[in-house]
Amino acid sequence: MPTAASSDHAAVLAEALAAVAPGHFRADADGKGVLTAWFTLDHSAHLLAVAALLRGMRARLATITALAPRGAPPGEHLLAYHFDLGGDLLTVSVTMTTGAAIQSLVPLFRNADWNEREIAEMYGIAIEGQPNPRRLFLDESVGDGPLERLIPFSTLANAASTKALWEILLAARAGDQP
Amino acid sequence: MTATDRPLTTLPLGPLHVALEEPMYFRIQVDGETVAGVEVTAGHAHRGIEYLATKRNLHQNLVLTERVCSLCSNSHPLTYCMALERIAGAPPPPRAEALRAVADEIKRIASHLFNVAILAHLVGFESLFMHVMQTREIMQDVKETIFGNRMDLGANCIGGVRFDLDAEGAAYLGVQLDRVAVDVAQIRELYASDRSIGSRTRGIGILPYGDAVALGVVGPVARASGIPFDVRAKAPYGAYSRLEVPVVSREECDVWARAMVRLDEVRVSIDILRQCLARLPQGSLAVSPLPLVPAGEAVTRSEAPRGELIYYLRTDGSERPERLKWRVPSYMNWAALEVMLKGAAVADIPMIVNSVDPCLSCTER
Repeated sequence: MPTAASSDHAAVLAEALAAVAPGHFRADADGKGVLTAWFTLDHSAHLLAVAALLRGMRARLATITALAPRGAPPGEHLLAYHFDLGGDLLTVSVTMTTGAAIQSLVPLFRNADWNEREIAEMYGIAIEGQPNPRRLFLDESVGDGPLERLIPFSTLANAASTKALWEILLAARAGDQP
Repeated sequence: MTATDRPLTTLPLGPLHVALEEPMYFRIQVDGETVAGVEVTAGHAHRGIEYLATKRNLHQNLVLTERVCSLCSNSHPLTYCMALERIAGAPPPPRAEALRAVADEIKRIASHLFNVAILAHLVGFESLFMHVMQTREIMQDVKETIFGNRMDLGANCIGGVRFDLDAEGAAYLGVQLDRVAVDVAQIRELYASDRSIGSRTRGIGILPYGDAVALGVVGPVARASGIPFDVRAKAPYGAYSRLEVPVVSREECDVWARAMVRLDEVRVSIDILRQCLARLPQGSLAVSPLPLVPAGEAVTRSEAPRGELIYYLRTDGSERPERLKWRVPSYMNWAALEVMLKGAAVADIPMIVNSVDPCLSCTER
C-alpha cells in the first residue's frame, strides 16, 4: 500500500518528468513509505534531458541495467537507469533499437563510467561521448557482446590450455572399450 | 613530467596485492614516494554469474546468489528474494522479516570486524589484529551454532527464512552479543586513541564530501565522508521499518574515519539484534504455499556490510529470469580510490585500499 508521503513524492516526480520528456510514469510503494517509480521514455533522445533534471534534483545514479528482451529483434536492447532520490528509487527505461547509440551520462554523473563501459562491452551497446571508453572487465581480444553469443570460458578468461587432459580421457575411454 | 620536470615512474601494483587476496591491477604513476595518478583495471576473475543466473531457475538462483561473495553472502539471496517477493506480491511474514535482519546484522558485525582487523595488521599492530579477529570469532561461532555454517548461512528462502530462533537460541545469541559488546568497546577505544593507529590512518586517503557525492560511493565509505545514507534508515525494508537504526556518519573523510564508522556500526548492529530479540514477532517463517512468480520487474535494495546492494529482476512468467542484475557496493567504491590515492605516500597504498573494504568477488560477478 502506498503511503501518503510516497504518493506525494510520486506526484511531484511524475509532474517534473512530464515537463522535460514524453514517456509513461508509474509508481508502486511497499507499505513502508519507500517509493519505487518507473519512467519509460518514448525515445532515447530525451535521456539527457531527464538525467539533467535528476541531477538538479540531487539524484544519485545507483546503476544501469542492460538487457536483451526475450523475443526482441537481434540487437535491440532495453536500458534501465536506476536513480536514488533521497531513499526513493526511480528507474528510467529506454529501448535501444538495433544499431542505435545512447548518450553518455558521465558528464552529469561521474559514476556512470564503469556502468557504461560494462554495458558497452557485454552487450555491444554504442555510447556516444564516453570519455573513457576502454574495456572494464573483458580482455581486448574478446569481441563486444559476449552475453549474446557462445564463447568458451577458456577464451573469455584468456586461459592457456592444452589437449593433454583430453588425450588422457580419450585414451582411458578407449581402454574401456571391449 | 612533474612540476620539477622529473619523469613519473609507473608502479604496477597487482593483480595480486598485499592488502587484497583477490586480483585487481593498479597502474600507479609515482613521483618519488608520492602517488601522482592511479588507473584501476578489473577483469582478472570475472565469472559471468549474471549470465549463468538466466540459465538457472528462480529457486536455483537462491543458491547461486549466496555464492557471489562470502562476506556479504546473506545480503545477495536476501535482496534477490525481496525482488521475487515484490513481483509475486507475497511479502514475508513479520517473524521472517525480523529473522532476516538477525542474519544480516550477524554477518555485518563479522564483516566489519574483519576489515578493521586487517587495518591493524597493515599498521603492524599484530596483537590488536589478533584481538579483533578473536572477537570476530565469537560471531563466527554464532553463525555456526545458529545456521550450521560459518560463512554461507542459507538463511533465506523465497517468501521467508529457513531457520528459526527458539528461546534457547535467542538466549545464546544474547549472551554472545554481550561478550562482543564488551570487546568492541575496548577495541573502539584503542582505534580512537592509539598513536600508531592514528599516525597511519588519520589524514590519509582523503575522499572529500564533493567527490564522494559525485562518485556515488556508498556504505561506510560514503558515511565517513559526511553522507548519512544507509538503506536501512533511508529506504527501510523488511523489519528495519520497525527498528531503530541510527545512521553513523563522520566528517573526517580519511582511513581512520572509515574504520571508526565500521566500529560504531558494529555497536549499532548489536543494538539492532537486541531489538529483534526483544520484539521477535510470533508467526510463520515463510509464506505458504510458495507463490507463482508472474511476468514483471522489480528493483530492490538492502544495506550490505559494504553499502547499498541493488538487485534488478525481470521475469516473463517462466521458471528462468529474463534478467537478473545486481550492483554491489564495491562496484561504486573502486573509482574513489583514484581520489584517495592521489598525493598519498606509496607506503600508505595498502592501508587506503583496505579502507574501502573492496570486494572482488562481488565486483567481478
